[in-house]
Amino acid sequence: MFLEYRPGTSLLHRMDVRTKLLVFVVAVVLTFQFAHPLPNALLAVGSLLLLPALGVPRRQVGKLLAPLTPVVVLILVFAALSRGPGDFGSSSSARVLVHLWFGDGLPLTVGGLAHGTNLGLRILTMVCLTAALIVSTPVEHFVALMRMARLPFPVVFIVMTALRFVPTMQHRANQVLDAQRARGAKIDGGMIGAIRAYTTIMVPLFSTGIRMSEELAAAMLNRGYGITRQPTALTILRPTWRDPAIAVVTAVVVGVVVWARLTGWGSL
Amino acid sequence: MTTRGLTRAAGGEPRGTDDKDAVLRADGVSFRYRSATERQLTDISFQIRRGERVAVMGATGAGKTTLLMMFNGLVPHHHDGEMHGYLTAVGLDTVEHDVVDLVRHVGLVMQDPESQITGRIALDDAAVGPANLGLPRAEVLDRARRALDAVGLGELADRDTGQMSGGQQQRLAIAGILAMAPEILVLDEPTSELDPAGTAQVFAVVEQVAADRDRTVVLVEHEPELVAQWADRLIVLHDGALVHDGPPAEFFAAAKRAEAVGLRPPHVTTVCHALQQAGRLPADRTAVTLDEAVAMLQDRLPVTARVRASARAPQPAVPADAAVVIEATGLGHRYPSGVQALSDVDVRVREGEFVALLGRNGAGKTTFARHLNGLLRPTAGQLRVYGNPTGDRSVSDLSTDVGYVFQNPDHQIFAPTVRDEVAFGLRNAGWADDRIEEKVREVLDLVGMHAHLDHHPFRLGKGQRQRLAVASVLALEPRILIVDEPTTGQDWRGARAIMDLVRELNRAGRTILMVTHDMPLVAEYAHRALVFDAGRLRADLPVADLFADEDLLAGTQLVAPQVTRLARRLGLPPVTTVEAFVELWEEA
Repeated sequence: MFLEYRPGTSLLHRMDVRTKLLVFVVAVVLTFQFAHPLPNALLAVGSLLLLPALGVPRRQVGKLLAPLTPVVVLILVFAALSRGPGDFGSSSSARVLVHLWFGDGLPLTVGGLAHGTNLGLRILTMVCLTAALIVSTPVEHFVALMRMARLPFPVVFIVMTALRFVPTMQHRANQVLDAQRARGAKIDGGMIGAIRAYTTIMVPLFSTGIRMSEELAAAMLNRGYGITRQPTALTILRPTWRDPAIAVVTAVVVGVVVWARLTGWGSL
Repeated sequence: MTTRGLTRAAGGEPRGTDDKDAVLRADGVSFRYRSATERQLTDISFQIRRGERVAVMGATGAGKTTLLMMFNGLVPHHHDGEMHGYLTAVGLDTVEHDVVDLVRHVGLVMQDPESQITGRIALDDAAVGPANLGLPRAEVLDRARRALDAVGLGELADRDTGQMSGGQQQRLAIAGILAMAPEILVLDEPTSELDPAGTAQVFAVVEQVAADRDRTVVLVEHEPELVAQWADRLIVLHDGALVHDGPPAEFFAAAKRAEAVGLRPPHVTTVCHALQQAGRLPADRTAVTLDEAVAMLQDRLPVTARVRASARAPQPAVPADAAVVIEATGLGHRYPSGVQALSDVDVRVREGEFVALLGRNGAGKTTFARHLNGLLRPTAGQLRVYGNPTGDRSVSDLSTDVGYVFQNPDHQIFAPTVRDEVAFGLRNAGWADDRIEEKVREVLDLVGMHAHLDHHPFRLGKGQRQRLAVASVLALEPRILIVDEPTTGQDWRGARAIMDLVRELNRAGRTILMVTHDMPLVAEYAHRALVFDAGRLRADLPVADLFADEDLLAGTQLVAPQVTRLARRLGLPPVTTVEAFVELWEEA
């Protein structure tokens, strides 16, 4: 299930898209500042809790994160085992918790475990924050931002249309899936079944998709696409008093983090 | 914008007499698409004056859409090819002027609203056109608001376009064009995918827009009743040639002529024609609209017919002791989104019945149908097919009992040959290769497509692809067949062909359930109607009784066939087919 904008009145909804992007970038940068998993865990839990707060049903959050689980687990395991005791300066990090192989093979160190955990938490944080950004910001605001950045209109239009047609294509994909299942296609049956089902779904999906894109092209010409290079911008971004306030808070947070780093807090 | 390969036969000046008021003028226009070998349009000439309401009709492939796309230059600038002759819109030559010039004067609303809507909310979508014109923001929004008001969507300006009904989306597509304030409004089959309520809404808008006598409206429409009621003038295309240009009455009056080009005359015209044949009506008297027919037939009504108010009770289509094949008890379905799409449906269908599932969009008819082959599982109550609860069986297992033919054949066709497409279900069911080949030939014979065994499905016409979809479902030998909107996008002949096939399958003993908005088809083919309304089964009755029940029809926004309305206006029993009407008259 792809995420879509959900209308709402939360603080995040009322923030200017630029402020949101600033906070987003800062939060992502912050996840790279700490070697200790605790601050990263706080960030990850905070971002995760944002989603239900924005009105995303729990089931949908589950669907969003479920495909990530194997990836995160693999990264965690590989990253944890990729560091030997010799890779760490401090003795506490170099402490070997257990050897996973005979003799002294595959040592799992405290530092390695923390490293793996951090990577996993960073991914979780970024996915949740991206979802929160998409769920709380209508497409028009991204479009307005791109136009303020003076991106060429064709580029803006492509992004706009791509976003607009995600739900439509998903709807079509479901129709195709139903039509094939009704003829006995066992879509959810094993690896081979899934690959074979792939053609039966992708061919009709592509053919209707191509037809739709042709119709869209004609429809845009019908509505005067190309008469002016820069069509009138409809959405105007209007910051409120909240936006500078949030920017100041963000700056303070950055200051505190820099200070903490300098004093050595959050390292291992 | 490409004008690559754009050619026009050299020499010659525009011919024909000059009409100062002509806003659209075609002089010997022919066109061949670059990828085609045959011409799509041949030697078309006409002049349309300011303020006229023009309907364009023709069978599938007659060239209607190509003609409309010529008006604003999409043909030949966007879809290129070889053009001959001259076409001018408000005095601008459509070859010399590009699409960007022409769209300021000619607004074209295309068929499928879903692929025309680009805005997330209605107001933004309606504003796309004026924004492209580069007008100041305040004026853009003002025009968009006025256009939404004009199509009755003023209250829904902030509505998410993805959440709108088909009728609302179509009206939004019209608003998007109206916002550009074109002098000529051109609409390509705006009602072909809508339920009766949506069709009525869109036609009300078209009526209102056309009331402005400075604006010219050209409309492609396949419902002859709507055309006869609405148009001043009818242009009929047949195989790319113009075969009629004049008042609709003149064309439909010669019933044979309409049928020859694959068009159905309005019901009332067919009635008049049949009465003429029976010697009950002078050969020169005919009608194309309901009001005309009522006025004309009222005085000629045989006295005895008025008294014979009791129609013969319709014979039950299947014996009362036929096996129950579908049994729903307290069936309900709530979607994960929380929408209660179906509640408390109790119904039994017997072997060999032909049942129509009716109701406006979102009433629950498709949700019900999808339970029958397990695409949806009951969230309340139970559904039994051949005595077994569907909850215990997989979709692929059920597919051998219940075949489901979807509305759009292109959603399922994927194979490189017709043979492979039909064999798909059989392979899924694990049939042996030699038996598959035999079965494939058998079902292709049944649908009359044996000659196409090795053809590529996408080379077939829409009607044949629909047949192929039916064949690929029939291969699994289901004894229950669900057909979802089988006639959408088909012309009259195509629709009849597919319906006759379904009727044959029914007569051979299969149980048919048909989801449709097309009431004349229901009257002609189905025996029993299940009417859904807001997720509930509002009525379960013989088709003849449905069309006799005015309160039920009004309450569920269904419209009786024109012949039924004619009978009622004349005080006759509410017959549902032209044949029955004429028979009634004869008996009198």
